[in-house]
Order: sequence, then C-alpha cells, then structure tokens
Amino acid sequence: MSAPDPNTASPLPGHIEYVTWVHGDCLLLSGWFPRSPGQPLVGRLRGQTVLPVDMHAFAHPRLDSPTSDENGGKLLVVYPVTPDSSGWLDIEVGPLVLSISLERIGQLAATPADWARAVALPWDAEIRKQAADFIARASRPATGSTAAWSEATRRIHQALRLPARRWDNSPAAPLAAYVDALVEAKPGQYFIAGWARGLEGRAAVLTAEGLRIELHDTFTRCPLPEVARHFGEPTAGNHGWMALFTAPDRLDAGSVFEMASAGGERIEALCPEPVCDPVRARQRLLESAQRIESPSSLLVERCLYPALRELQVRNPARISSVDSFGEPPCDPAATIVVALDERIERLEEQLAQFADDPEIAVSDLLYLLDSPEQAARLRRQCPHLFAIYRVPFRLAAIDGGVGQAEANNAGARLARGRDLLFLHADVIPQAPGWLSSLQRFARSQSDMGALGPMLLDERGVDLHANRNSSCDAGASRARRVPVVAGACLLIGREIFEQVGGFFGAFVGGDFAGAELCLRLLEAGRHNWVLPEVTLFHLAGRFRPRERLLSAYDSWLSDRDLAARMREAMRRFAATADGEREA
Amino acid sequence: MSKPRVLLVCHAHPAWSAGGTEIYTQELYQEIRRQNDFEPFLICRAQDHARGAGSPHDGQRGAGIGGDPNQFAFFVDESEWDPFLDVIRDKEHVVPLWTQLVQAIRPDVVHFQHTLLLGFDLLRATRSLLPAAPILYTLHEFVPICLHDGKMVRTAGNDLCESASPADCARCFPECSPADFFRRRCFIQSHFGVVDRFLAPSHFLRERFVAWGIPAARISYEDNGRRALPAAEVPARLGPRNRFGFFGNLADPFKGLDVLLHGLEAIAAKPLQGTAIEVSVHGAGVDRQPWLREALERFPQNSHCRLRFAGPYTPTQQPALMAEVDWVVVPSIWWENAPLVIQEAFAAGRPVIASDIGGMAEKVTHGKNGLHFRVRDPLSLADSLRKAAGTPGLWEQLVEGIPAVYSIKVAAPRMAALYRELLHGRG
Repeated sequence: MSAPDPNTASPLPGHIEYVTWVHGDCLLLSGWFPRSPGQPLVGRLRGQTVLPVDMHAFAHPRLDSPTSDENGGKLLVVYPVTPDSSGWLDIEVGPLVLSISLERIGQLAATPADWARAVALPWDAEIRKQAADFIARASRPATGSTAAWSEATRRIHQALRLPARRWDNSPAAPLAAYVDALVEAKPGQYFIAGWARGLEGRAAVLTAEGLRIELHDTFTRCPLPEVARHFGEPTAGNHGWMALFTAPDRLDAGSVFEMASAGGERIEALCPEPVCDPVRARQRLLESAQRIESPSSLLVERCLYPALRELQVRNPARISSVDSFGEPPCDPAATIVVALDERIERLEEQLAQFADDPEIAVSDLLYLLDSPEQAARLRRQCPHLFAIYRVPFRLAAIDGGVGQAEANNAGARLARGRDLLFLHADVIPQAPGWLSSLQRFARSQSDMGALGPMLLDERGVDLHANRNSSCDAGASRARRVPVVAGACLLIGREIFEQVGGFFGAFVGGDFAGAELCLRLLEAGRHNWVLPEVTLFHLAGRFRPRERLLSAYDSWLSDRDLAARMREAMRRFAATADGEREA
Repeated sequence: MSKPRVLLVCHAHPAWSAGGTEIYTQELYQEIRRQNDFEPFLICRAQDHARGAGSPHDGQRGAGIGGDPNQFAFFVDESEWDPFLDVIRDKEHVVPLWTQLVQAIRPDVVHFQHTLLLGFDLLRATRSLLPAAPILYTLHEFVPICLHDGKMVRTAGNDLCESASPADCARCFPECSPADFFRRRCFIQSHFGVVDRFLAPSHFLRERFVAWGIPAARISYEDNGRRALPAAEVPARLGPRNRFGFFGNLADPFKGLDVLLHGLEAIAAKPLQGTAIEVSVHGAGVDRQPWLREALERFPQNSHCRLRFAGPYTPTQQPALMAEVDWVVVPSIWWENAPLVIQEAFAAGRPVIASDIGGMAEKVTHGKNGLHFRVRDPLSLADSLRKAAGTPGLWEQLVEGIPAVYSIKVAAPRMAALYRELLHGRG
C-alpha cells in the first residue's frame, strides 16, 4: 500500500487523511475538519456535476491538535465517482473546500480493507462499529448489482469489527450467546433462533457486509430447559430467543448475532450459514421450534408462523421416486391418496384394514412420504407388506418435508383415478364397500364438490358434528354441508384441478380440506356428507412436531379463513333456508 | 396318498424356554407324530442366543432343531419388535424366511400356538401364502386384549381388570391414547379375521375373548392335553398333611409368591396349634427379584412355620418334588388361563390351593379337589393353609376328587379330527 497523501489544497484546519474506493463508483474519505452543523455539504467534480456526499462524524481527537474541540473525525462517502474520473473533486464543507486530485487517487489506490487496517483499527471499538455501519449503509448502490459493495463492505467490516467475544458454553460463563438457526423464509426475510445467557439488552444481526439490523421488533424470548440444565440453573428461564427480520440483501455466511447484557457488555456469536433451500429451511425451522416445549403465542405469531407460512408457500412438493408394489389396477375408478406425514407405521395398519375389501385392490392406492430420511427403509419394507396383505399400492417419495396439503397435491398429480379420495393415514374403514358407496353418491349429484363420510372416534362419536352443527348434524341421511373433513374427502379429479388443489400454506389436511371446500362453494359447488358410510378417525397423541403444525394451521385458518368461513356459513344457511321454504 | 401336513407355530421351544405353552406345543407335536394321521411340523421363534442350542445352520435365520427335520428355529430380531401392535416392523428378513419355510413345508393346516415376538401379521402372511389351508389359533393368555403382558391386570396397583376398553387401557398406559388402543384392537382383529378356529383352554378365557369381539362360533373350548407324567413313588404318610409346595417361575411377579409369604407371616403370628406348616418354594428366576431372595432368606423360621427355598428344577425332577409335598399352592394374582402346574399337581395326586379367580377357579373345584382362597388375600390363604393342614381327612377327601388329567393321547386325536373337519369345510 502506498502512503496516502491525496491532499493538495487543504492546509489545516481541514485535512483528508486517506482516500480509497469502496467499490467501483464510490469513494471513501477519512480525515479531520471542523464540524459544520447546519452548513451544506457538497461534493462536485470541479466544473461539473454535483455529487451526493454522505458524512459520518465521530468523536476522535485530531492527533496533531488534541486539545482542539473543533476537530472531530470524519468519514465521507462520495457517490458516484468512478476510478476513471479525472480532474479535481471538491468537497465543500461550509466555507472550507477540500480538493482532491482524482488522478492521484488512482495512483495511490488501496483497498477498503487496507484503509480499515491502516486507519481505523486503532480507533475505539464503538467508533469502529459506527464507522463500519456507516460505510455499509452509505455506500450501498441504490440500484443494480450489490456484489462489489457486498464484498468490499464485508472486508471492511471484518477488518473493523470488535474482536469477537465468542460465546462460551462452559457452565460457569455468566454471559453467553449462540445462534442455532438462520433460515431464509423468503428472499430478504430471515428467521433466526438461538439462546443467550445473562443478556437482556438489544439484539442485532450484523451482516457480513457490516449492516446492522436491529431485531427489537420481533425478538422474542422463550424457555429452553436444555440450556438451563446445561448451565445448572434451577428454573427454565427465558434463554431461548427467536426473531424474524428483513435484510436489504441476501445474507451470506459470516453474519454475526450481537446482544448486550443489562450492564451494556456485548456478546456476539457467529451465525451459521443461512439455509436458503426451502426444503432444508423448513426442516431447520421446525427443528428449532421443536426445542421449545410450549411456545408462547407471541413467539409463534411474531416469528414462527409467519416464517413457516412463507416456507410452505415456497415449498412445492417434488416427487423423487414412485414405486409400485403389486400389479397396479387398470383404469381405476378412484385414486386413494394417503400422505403418511412421517407415520410410516400407519401404512401397515391401513393395509391390514384394506386387505379384506376387494374394492381397494382395484383402486389406485397411493401413499406419499415427505420425510426422505424414512424413504429407503419404507421402500425396503413395501414389497414384503404387499406379500403379506396383497393390496397393490404405490409409494411416492417427496424429496423434503412439505406437509399433507402439498403432499396431497403431489398425489393428485400422480393420480390415475377419475375420483380422488384424500385419506389420512390414521383413518380406517369400519367395513368393506365404503369407497364405492361414496363414489355412487358422488355421481348421483350434480354440482358435487367434496363428499365425506361420517368420521367416528374410538367411542363411536361423530367427530365433525360440531363443525357443521347448523346443518342438521346427526341426521342419518345424506346432507349438504359447508365443509367436509379433510381426513376423508372424495372429489372429482377434474374439479380438484379446476379449483387449484389444496392451499399449500397449510400443513395438515384438516384446514386445507376446509379451505378447499370454501373454494368449491365459492365456485358454485356443493359439499356433502354421507353418514351411512362410516370410518374411524383415530388421531392418537400428537407428536411435538404435529402439535406445532396443527397450531400453525389453526393460526393460519384464523387469520386467512375465518371471515370467509363466516360468510360461507351465512350464505349456506341462507340457501338452506330458502330451499326449505321452497 | 401322503398324509396331510400340519404346521404348529410357537413363540419358543422347550429347548430354550420351558414355558407352559412351549411344553404343550412340543407334546402335541410329538403325539401327532406318534399317532400318524398327520405329518406334523413345528416352527418356533428363537433369539440369537438360542442358535447354539441344536442349530446345525448357525448364521442363518432358520435352522433345524435337535436333528429333527420337521422342527425349525425361526430367528427373529427382537429389536424390530413393536410391542404395541405385536408385530415385527422390519419385514425384510421375516417375510422371505416365513415364505420360504411355508412353501417348503406346504402344510395343509396351520396351527398357531402363539404369535408373541413373531407378529400377528404372520397370520395374514400365512393366509396369503395358503389361501385354502385352515388356520387355527390357540389362545394361551390375553395378549391380544391387554398390553400389560396379556395379564388383564392394571398397571397401577396390579388391580384385576374385568374387561378392556380403549379408555381404560389408556389409563394403564397414559403415553398412549384411547384412539391408539382402538387402533391396536382393530389391527389385531383384522389379522384374527383370517383364522378359521380359535381354541381356548379354559371357558373363562373363551368368554373374555368372546366379549372382546371374537364371534362365539369361531372359538371352541379345548383344554391342553398333557402327556402322562411319570408317577413318583409316594411314601405312605401317617402324619398331618402339612407340607405345601409352590412351583413356578419366580421371576414372574404375577405368580403371587408375595401373597404366600405374607400368608406364612400371618401363620407365624397366629400358629396352628399342634401342627407346623412347612412350605417349599421351587422355581428359577429368584435372581431377577432381589426382594424375593431377601424375603426368603429373612423369613422368621420357627417351630410353627417353616419355609424352604428349594431353587430351580427340571421337568423330570418335578414329579418327585411334588411327591414330597401334600398340597400345591397356586396363589397367582392374575387370572391365569389353564396353568400347567395344576395339571401337574393333579397328575401327582396333589390337591391344589388356588386363588379364586379365572382359570385357577375353573380348573380347581373348591372342596372337591382343592381349596380356593380370596385372590391377593394373605389372611385368606393363611386360613386355607391352616384348614388344609389341620383338618383330618380333608386331604384324603380332596385327593379322591382329583380328576384324571386330560391326556395328550386323547387331545391329539381330537385335534386331528378338528383339523380334518376344517379341511373338509374349506375344501
């Protein structure tokens, strides 16, 4: 690096100490000159264009005049000036004009990191952070590629950042922080989760480029018993935290989480590389969420659910393989679509019930697995399950977790039957013949939307009587209803495709089924329940992940469906009244 | 014309597990072979540790047993066992081997004695392989009904359970929901749907399974026949009939040995005048019940009440050991079905003092060939022991009432007749 001496006409009291290119069209100047509150700050190429100049002032004694209170450190960013510019650059600070030979700069050019190391490294830590933040913010291109800016500011930031006080996980550490997950919910929006000990102050993410993003809007604490146990604390405490934040650019590796203690001491922890692939991102988010035993409503509504919703929408099911077991039926009337949702043992339980029903053997039975880690094992079992039960079926493996709704959409794309019967893996028939009964009734009605059977629990109680309570629930005859349970829902494939399938933002089948039914109603179709056909819906205990996802679906339903549902119920009731009067 | 073939299937073999079902199955196999109407085959589940016991094909999943070409060990990886649904989850090894064995044997009849650690789905697999073959299933306890080792005893306090329901079962196993238990029942019953005939060795057990959902027409009472046990020489005895014996698996907490010990404590506190009570405890497994060993060792022996821990015995030793006692005590705190020890006691000419429930109450008639006492009631048992030892002529009277033990020589032809009937029905 050459010794910088770009000043040509700036005797004291103004002095430009150092000049470098931040990137291809942005110049960084640092030095000392008088404070100028209220006075205009102008840059211009001599005789030519007026240039925008941004300035950051900070308390820094001038070395050659340490007692002068008129001298503070200054950083200037001038934009846009390109390295091939020529002539003089004049910076007018009130009455003071600092002039710089642009040709000279070209000769002396050093990198921003060189500037940081040569000039800024001796500064106080707080000033270094301010300087890095300022440069990153002020030098960011308003349009076009940010790649060069990103690289330059990242180097400045790395050179300027405080020596990291890394998290210390020893049980004796009074202050500690850790970032467990950083995932991209959608471009520019990130979900971050981790834990912190002894830190109650403001939290921020410093991007690799040096941008500081405050997390206070969504930053939410939660108990993480495993962390409390690690530190030997008697109660769970609020060690965990999560946040959802917007970043102006796509985050790269090297972001840092920073959090302060009540006394102002800051701890930082390196963030993992952001997970951007939506399949992996969803998985990572759910793993983080599952560590929390009872997430608060604040936590889920500020952070988890909005992030999950974005990932659900971004995450269409991609089929990685389809295997057939047994002779597939020719021209099946119906495709039974069962999303296993990690419950692979339910496949055998359902086959055991299907084995005595000859209708199933001539249907297109399609299981979908969206947990790739289970795919190989299940695929190995399937030939033997067919050998035992002699029910032909297909197994479609999806290359990542997507949830039932989107898995069902994928199943519909693979379907061979004219009708689609979406069935939960925990639904079993009470007796053979149920499928053809449903299909017969569906064909007997014009404008048929979705059709469902009566679903009973293990006590024989109609599980969905309350849902359609205004619709003569409990009656044994077929009746029109606003919505059909997603646990067992028959629909014509063509109609399903016309209305666009299930809304993939939902994870489970229940709310997705209700939403589908609303769209069918809005499209002028009618939904029916046929109580003479009964199946058992045996949900069993939720696993932690299922509990979380069910609560998410409920939240999404309240947010997106409640008004539509009320309107549908009102219109349905009005129509039913009208028909009764007629 | 070749004889029809019957395949017996059991969850273990006496060569490595001397349980009642295993012994009965082995005796049935031997007697069918001897009577020569059917050619019998026997497949028994084995764990890896049994490979050394008569396995000429070590390293394979199936192996012959003891050089008998008709008996096979069927090695199963228990780590893949699903104890809730009672199936092997990993079918990769089980199904091909089962298919291979069944196709090699080509049985005309398949008679399951147990599917524990084999899997209920083996029933369905067998039906798929042999659509025309009658399938029989002997019910030896309540595993299909009750997750608690098939005991129908509640997990909390070991209270007796009269009938299973999803809600009650979920109270015993709170980690599972009522819906889970309903699924379990549906799953097992779906497999039971391929069985042509169930056999129940006690009326009590039969009624329980009918109440659970097996149609009464498909479940017959058929006691377990026993081979004739060698009669031990019983020395003449003129003194009081005051010697009591307990025979059984000491590791099984449901056998009620604690009730017997507490009953003896009550006798020690309130002795029978003029006659000492002498009790000997026979069986293996005490090492798995540390409290029991301590209780046996610390029992306060005195001139009124003496307790002797005799330890393990072999089946061949049993007649002689039973000959050394006057009474056999069966104090089980679960229902039992058709305990072999009762048949063995009767075969040895020994009246039985048994809990007044289930299969014990059915097999022992109070006042005719034994005495009942209130289940789990040590004081009631103590009263029965005092009565037995202190009532002159009672022992002789009850010995007179002991029925002939149902012989396997009678049972096997009846079983063969049933096989033929079912074959005819399916044919």
